[in-house]
Formats: sequence, structure tokens, C-alpha cells
Amino acid sequence: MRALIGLLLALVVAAVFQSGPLLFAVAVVAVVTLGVRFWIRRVMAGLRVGRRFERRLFFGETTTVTLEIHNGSALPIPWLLVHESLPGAIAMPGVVSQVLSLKGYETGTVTYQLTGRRRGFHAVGPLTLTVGDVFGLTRTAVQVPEQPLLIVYPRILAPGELDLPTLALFGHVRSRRRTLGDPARVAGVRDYAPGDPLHDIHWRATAAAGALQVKQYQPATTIQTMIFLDVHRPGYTAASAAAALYATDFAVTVAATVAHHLIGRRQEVGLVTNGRLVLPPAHNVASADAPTVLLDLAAGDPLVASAARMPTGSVEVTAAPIPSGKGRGHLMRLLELLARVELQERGDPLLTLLNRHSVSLQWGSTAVVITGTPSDQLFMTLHRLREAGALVVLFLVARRPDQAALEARARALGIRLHAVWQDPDLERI
Amino acid sequence: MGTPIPTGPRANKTGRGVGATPDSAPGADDVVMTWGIVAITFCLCCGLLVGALALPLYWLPGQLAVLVVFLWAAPVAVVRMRRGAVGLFGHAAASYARRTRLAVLAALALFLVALPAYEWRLLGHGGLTAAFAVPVVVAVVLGMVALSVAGDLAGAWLLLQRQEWEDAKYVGRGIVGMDSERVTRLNRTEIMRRLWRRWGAGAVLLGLALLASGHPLTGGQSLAVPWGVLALLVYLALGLSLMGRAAQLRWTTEWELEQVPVAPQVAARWSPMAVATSVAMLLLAGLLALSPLLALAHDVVGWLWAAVLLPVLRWLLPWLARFLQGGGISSGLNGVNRGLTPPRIHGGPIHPAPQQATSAFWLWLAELWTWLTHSWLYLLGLVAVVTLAWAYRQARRKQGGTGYWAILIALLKELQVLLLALWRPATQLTAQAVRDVRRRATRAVARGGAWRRRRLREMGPRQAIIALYVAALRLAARRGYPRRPGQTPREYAAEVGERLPRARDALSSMTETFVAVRYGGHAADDSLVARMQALAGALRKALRRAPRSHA
Repeated sequence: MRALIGLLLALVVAAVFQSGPLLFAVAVVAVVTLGVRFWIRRVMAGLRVGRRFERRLFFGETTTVTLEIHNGSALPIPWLLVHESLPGAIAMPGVVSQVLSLKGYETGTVTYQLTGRRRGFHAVGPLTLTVGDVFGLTRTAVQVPEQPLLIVYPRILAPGELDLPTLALFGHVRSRRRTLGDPARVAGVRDYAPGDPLHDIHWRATAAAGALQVKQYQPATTIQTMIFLDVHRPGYTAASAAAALYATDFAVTVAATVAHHLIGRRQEVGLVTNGRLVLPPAHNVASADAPTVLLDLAAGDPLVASAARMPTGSVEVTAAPIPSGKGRGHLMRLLELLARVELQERGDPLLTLLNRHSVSLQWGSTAVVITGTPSDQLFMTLHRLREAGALVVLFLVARRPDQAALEARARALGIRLHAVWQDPDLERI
Repeated sequence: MGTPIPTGPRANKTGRGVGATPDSAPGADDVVMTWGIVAITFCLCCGLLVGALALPLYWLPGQLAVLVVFLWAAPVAVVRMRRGAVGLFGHAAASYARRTRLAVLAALALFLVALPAYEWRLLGHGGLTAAFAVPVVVAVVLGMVALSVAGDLAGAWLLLQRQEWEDAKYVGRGIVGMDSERVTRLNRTEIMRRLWRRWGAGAVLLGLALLASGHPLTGGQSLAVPWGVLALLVYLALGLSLMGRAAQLRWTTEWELEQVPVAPQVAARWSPMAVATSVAMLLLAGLLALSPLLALAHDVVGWLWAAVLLPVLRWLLPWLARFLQGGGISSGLNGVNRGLTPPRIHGGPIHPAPQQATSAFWLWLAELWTWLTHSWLYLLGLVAVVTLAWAYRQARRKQGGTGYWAILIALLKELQVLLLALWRPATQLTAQAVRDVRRRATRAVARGGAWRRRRLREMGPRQAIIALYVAALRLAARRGYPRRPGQTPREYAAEVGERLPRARDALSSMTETFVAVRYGGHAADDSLVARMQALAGALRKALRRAPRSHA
């Protein structure tokens, strides 16, 4: 302000006395001061940014992110500081910075790598671009609001043999024989789910119900497995929250490994979980509007069963059960749900989940239950399932001193029990 | 016995950061910046000298030549001295600064005061007179300006480079935390702003000097105006070029400290872009200076003076004079244009002053202005009528009724709304202006005591602690308690503590802090600097109360 007043006074003096040199001196200072600001403003208005990278990663996989910064102005950019903030779960260190110089209409690139070190949704960015002039007079920073999402699928281990009872029951599955339901024995209809073949659609039932319905055949030759994943905090009685988090994460790994293994063997796998589903982060939204935006996001998400606004202002989202299916597309759907599921403090316990969804289990199906705490009620529920014709495998994600006694009890009830806590435990099965 | 004082890092000879290749020859950046600083200082001082030549001064034969040589040599010496001080700490730095300052002042006194005095005496002009003293004062002022500007620029250049205490091992990147890192960094933005402000002020000063040179007083001369214009041109061009280099150094250092990778094109394109921008800006400014803008601005200022300020003054001053004489408001208004009109002494017609030919546009503008100033009452009435009509229309729209009372009340309401709409922004603007003035006044008052704190802050905590300790030693030495060569800080503190019990606690605490920070690698922060300042204050009080020692 003082400088401006001084320049104006000098300009008045130059005008009064018609002094060319004084006017020239004032003009140089004013032109440079205003000119560089105009320059930077023009350049900032023409900056365009694009990111190219693989949006879906398997655990441990690496992708290269290419940032393309285009100078849409004819004026050059003396220096441009590119500063990208990244979550520590996918990048180490969590910041990528580089200084570039761009001519008019030139495009510069910055490349870096992201590694899927933790499953879940990860927002890449925000990206901050800082531009300055050659005289060090001004610099302007702008933050690019767009934060694309990267999904990292859960870890999949390579078990030596998953000795599941369904395999034992049918005996020859290792020959990779294609097993299908018997189309002559229609047991009923159910809602259409993505992945269902078109020729299974029951058109008359569809017309009557007003929604697509598909035929369900009797389990003549079907091998179905339903994974019941417990991601409920009371289901993991670990002493610390960190241990509970580790246990649930490992439970997800077990579920992903089982699903991957079975679908690799061309079997049908479904998934039911009581965990909390993580929604894509809503950026640049006022905190008051965030719940509404999240509810909108949840409404359009096929993996969401229900979303409710809590009194605290947060939004609780429960995952939708995924019916049995097979194929790579179905596996990707299962893995996406497993990538997004988190430990739930509230919600339904495992027993409720089992009681609700075991009704639709067909005879001869396998129920793979993954939890952290074996209670008497759980054993009784699983025993009832066994007696109803299902084959039950219980994965216990915990360190238990009484493991031998538990295994004996499970064996007596017709349940196969595996206690797992680390990677080798799963690989030994 | 104390530990030997380690030598500081070697002086930076390359302009590429401390300890890069210290023994090699000066780098291209350093050479350019050294001679650039010398040249820009010389141009500034020569331009000011050209302005000073417009004064009616008596310059002795050869005095101007000596002054010009001094204005070139002094910046060279100052820049080299500032570069030689890099890496010196504590006593060595204080001693070096004292000796170099003395040498420069001695040279200034010798060449700009003693030599002319000797010549004055040789020429037999007699005793000390104003004719001798004023040119000497002008020369000394110019010499001081040269020393100050060159020292300032060289200091800024050195500060823009990477400092030893900004190294990661002192900062504790990732160990001490981000806060200490931020505090420890030098504020290079402020340095660049200061450089820019001073360069702009120098340009305006040069322009004013050339303006003065174009209107010399009786006895003054304007023969050197072309040289002054040349000095202004070189000053502006060189200033832009140096600013470009300084900005490059500033950002390179910042990015190096932040460990940000820099694409090679940045360094390669910087200088050409700075040169091209400078040329473009100078050409544009030249075009502006050569365009009719100057004449237009002159005309606008002239019209403003003639149409606004002059009538106000011609109306206000006589009215004020008559009002103060006790005539009251009515008599004051009657006496417009009479009070200050001087009596006509010589008879005959008054010849009009020679005037420049005025264009038809300006004549039309003048007529318009005259009409506006004479019919302001009608204009005011017109505005009032339009306002009333608008308010009446609004009232008819809102009210719906057609009764006279209803329309009148609605009209009053509309007028109230209109007045409030005008009143609120006016009060807000006034309040904002009052707040602004108050804030500026508070800042101006606080600035007096803040400059020392700012200097300490710019140094960084570690250097500030060392500087405070050295200043305390200097004060103690002035009071007769000097530190002997070879005496360690702790030995010195113990000796002074025995002789001066009042100062014992403060000095020993300062010594321990200094030793810990200077030699122990202890991380310094702002709180430590504040504590050191408090201790320095206590020591200063104790030394003032103590008797002067002659031991």
C-alpha cells in the first residue's frame, strides 16, 4: 500500500513537472509489479492437469501414476512446483514433489509409483500446483480438487490345500468337472443378480413381480459355498484395538483367499458380512453437508444394503450380501466388497447373520464361517446348520490356548475348525 | 582448559551453497553478482550525484573525480568484506566486522573529508566555510549511501544462499519436528521483498534526482543529465537482471533444503526468461514514457488543480480569513475572492502568461467542467427529484392502495430505506478507515522496538544466540571486563563472576547456553533466544550499575 502511494505521488510529480526520466522509472517499477502478476494470473487460468493410473490394484501390486500438467497459455511458466499428497498406505513417503518449467502450450509430466500396501479405498491427492515468476515477486498456489480413488483388493494367500468338506463330499472336484444345477428341477425363483445367465430368467414370474426373477434349481449337482465373515467388534475379544484391527484384517484375508481358491476351482461362492462398508470419501464438501452427500453416494452403490444417519452425524453403511456366483467378474465383486469392509462397532452380531442367511442355504452347501471368538451359541448354531444338511467350516482368527479342546469339540459336532493367526497358519491348511 | 574453538566453514566461493567446492575459483554466479552489486550501487550513487550537481555547490578541482572513484571502489571493498565474513563466528566475526568497518570509515574520512580539506588549505581559501562544508557533506552522504547499499545487497546475496545452520543435521528433520524446522529456516521471502522495495525506491529516487537536475538552481548545473539518464537505464536493467538471479538463487536454495527434485530445464530457462522479461518490461515502460501519457497526465493534473483544488482554496482561504477576523459566516461568504487578491501596483494592461495551444477536446472539457461547477445546485435538485420519483414509483408498486396518506407513508418508508442503504456503507467505510488508521499507528509505534527483534529473527535462533553472547562480551569489554585471547567462555564467566558478583548468574547462564548451542550441537529455538535476551538484559543492568574497571 505504501509502495503504491509512493508510486502515485511520484507519478503526480512526474506529471506536474513533465519529467520523462521520472515517469520512466515509475513506469518500469509499475509495469514489472503489475506485469508479473498479470503473467501468473494468465498462466494459472490456463493450467490443466490430468492423472493416468490403474484404479484397481491387487495387494502388493504397483502402478505408475503419470501426472500431466498442460500449460494452456502462450506465456511460459518459469517454475512450477508440483506437490502431490498421498496416503501412507499406498506411497512412501507420502509426498511427491517436483519442480518443472513449461513453455507456452507445453505439457510436462511427473511420474511416480503407488504400491497397494493396505486394502481399501485410497484417495490420490490433493495435488497442489505453485507457480512463480522469474523475479521472485509473486507466487500463487492452487489446489486441484479432484482426488481420484484407488481401490486395493485384500491380500490373497496361496494355501497349499484348503481342505473344505464340500470337496470331500463330491470327491472329484479336483478334476475341474463343470457342475451345474439341474434345469429340470426348478425349486423356486429369486431376484436377478448381476452375473446370472439370461436363459435362467423366469419371464412369467418377472412379469408378475415387476422385477427380474431368475429360476433356482434344486441342488442336484451344485457346489455352493457361502462365506460368513464376522467383522463385528464383539466378535473379536482381543485385548487391544490394534489387535482387533489386525484380526479383522486377517479375517478379510482369509475370506479373500477362500473365495479366490474356490472360484479358481469353478465353484459358486457367496459372501455375507456384518462389517461396515467404507464409502468413497466425499471431498470439498462442507462438514454439515457431508452426511447428505454420503447418503446419496450410498444410495447409488450396489454393494450397500442400508445406510443410516447416526445421531452423532456420521453415516453407518452395512454391506449387502452377495449371492452365490462364479467367474472372474464375480470374484472381483467379492474382492471389492472385502476391500471396503471395515470393523463395525454396532450392527448385527454373527449369530443374527447366520440365522438370517442360513435359511436360504441349499442342501449340501458349505458354510465357511470366519470369526474371532467361538462361543457356545455359535457352536450350537453351526451344529444346527450341519444337521440341516450344510457342511460347516469354522476359521477361528485368534490365538487360543485351548485350541485342541476346541478342535475336539468341533469335531464332535461335525464342524471342521481351523485356527489361524498368521500367514503360515493359512498356508498349512 | 577450554576446548579449542573449531574453525567455521569456509567462505562460500561458488554461490552453490556452503562447502560445495570452497577452494576453487569464484563461480560465475559470484562474479556476476559481485560486479552487478558494484555496478548497480555505482549507478545509483552517480545518478544521485547528477541530481546533487543541480545545487549551487563549489566543487574543488579533482573532488568530483575522487568522489566518483570512491563510489566505485567502496562497493567493491564492501562486497569483498561481506564475503570474507562468511563462516566467522563469535569473537572472530565481531572483530572482523569492527576492523572492516573502521577501515571503510577511515577511507571515507580520508578521501572525502581530509583530502578536500587539504586541497582547500593549499588553494588558500582560508578557514572552514559553507562553500567547503556543503560539498563535503554531500560527498560523505553519497559515500555512506554507497557503503550502505552495497553492504545491504551483498548481505542479502549471502543470506539467500544455503546457511550452515539450515542443514538437516542441525534442523533435525524428522526428529525435532516440523515446527522447529520451520522456525529455523531463514525467511527468504522477506529478503526478496526488501530487495524489491529498495530497488523500486532507488529507481524513484534516481528519477527525482534527474528531475532536480533538469531544473538546476542558480549556480547549479544540468550538464550531466545524459549521464544521469544512462545511470538510470543501467540501474533499472541491472536491477531486473540481479533480481532474476536472486530469485533463482532463492528458490534453488529453498528446493534444495526441501529436497525437491528440480528438472534441468528450470535452471536452463531461468536466465533467458528473466532477460527476455526484463527487456520486454523496459520496452513497454519506454513506450509508456514516450507516449502522450505524460502530457495527458500533466493536463489531467492541471485540470484537477484548476477545477477542483484552486476554487476550493480561493473560496476557503478568504472565508477562513474573514471568519477568523470575526466577520461570521455570512460576511465570510460575501468576501469570496477579495481577501487575498494583492493590490495592483503597476497600471496598464496585464499581459497574459504564454500558454500552450490547447486542443478542442480539452476546451470542451473545460466548458463542461465550468458548467458543472456553476450549476451544481440545479444538478443537486435534479438528483433529488429523480430520487423522489423513483421512491414514489416503488411506493406505488408495493402499497397497492391509491390513498394519499398510504402513498405518502410508503414514500417516506422508501426514503428511509434509501437513506439507510447509503448510511450503512458510509458508516462501515468510516469504521474501516478508523480501524485501518489505528492499526497502522499501532504498528508504527511497535516498529520502533521491533526492528531489533526482527533482525534477530532473520538470523535464526542459533545465530541470534551467538550474536547476543558476542554483544554481551562487547558491552562487558567496554565496561572494562574484556575477554583475554585464549580464555575459554567458562573461564571468562568465572573471572567476571568473581569480580562482579551481580553479573555472575546472568553471564554464567548465557555462557552455558552459548557453549551448548555453539559447540554442543544443542538445537536452538525461539524460547531459548527469548531466554538469552532476558539474560542479556539482566547482564546489561548489572554492568551499568558496576564500576568501570581499568584492570
